[in-house]
Amino acid sequence: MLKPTLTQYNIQVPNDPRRLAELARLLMKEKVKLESVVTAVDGGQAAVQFLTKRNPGLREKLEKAATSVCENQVFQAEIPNHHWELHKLAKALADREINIISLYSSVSDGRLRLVLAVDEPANAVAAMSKLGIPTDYDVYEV
Amino acid sequence: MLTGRPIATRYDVTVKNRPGELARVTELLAKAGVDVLHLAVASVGDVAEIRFTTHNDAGLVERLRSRGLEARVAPVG
Repeated sequence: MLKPTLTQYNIQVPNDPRRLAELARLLMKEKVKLESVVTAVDGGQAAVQFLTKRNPGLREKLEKAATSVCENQVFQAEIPNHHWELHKLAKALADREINIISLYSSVSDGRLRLVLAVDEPANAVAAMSKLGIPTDYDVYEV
Repeated sequence: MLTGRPIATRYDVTVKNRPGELARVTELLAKAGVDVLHLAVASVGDVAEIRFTTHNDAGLVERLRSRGLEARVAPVG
């Protein structure tokens, strides 16, 4: 079985410039090469979610700088970059009550490449397979 | 010739962090014939942010808001 190349770290910190700067300094010190980043803010909390190579020691270090840290399995899928194709995928996940934790994307040659972290990865992969969308747990570096 | 017009528009849509919220947005995009150039989703606590950019979005923000979705718009480029 293929082992994923990349993993997602999901970090929640107080939405304070100093705490975010501390986190950035830690990532720099640990030479963490980010493949992709998404963020969200809810009142006083910020979430910083990023893809990077698995690093067994990183989580412990992140926990010292953050309110909470989760590591999420991710998988990738490619679909034609057409609005109905995207909706078919989103609806298939919704119909199975699968929650999307984060989603990263890139467009190339008319294809939309998605990297997803969800609460039920195996169920999501099954739903997408039923739609004829090939998925891959081996998320390649970009 | 450069016209100074933005090359795309970025939308930030705040939704509840629960299954089906992305599908609400993608259904609207599909019906409006909007193709995305970039899409990202991030979540924190009870909230998720859906961000996308597009260049064919006439009337889209009104459609999003008419569905009760909290949407912010910014030009890109």
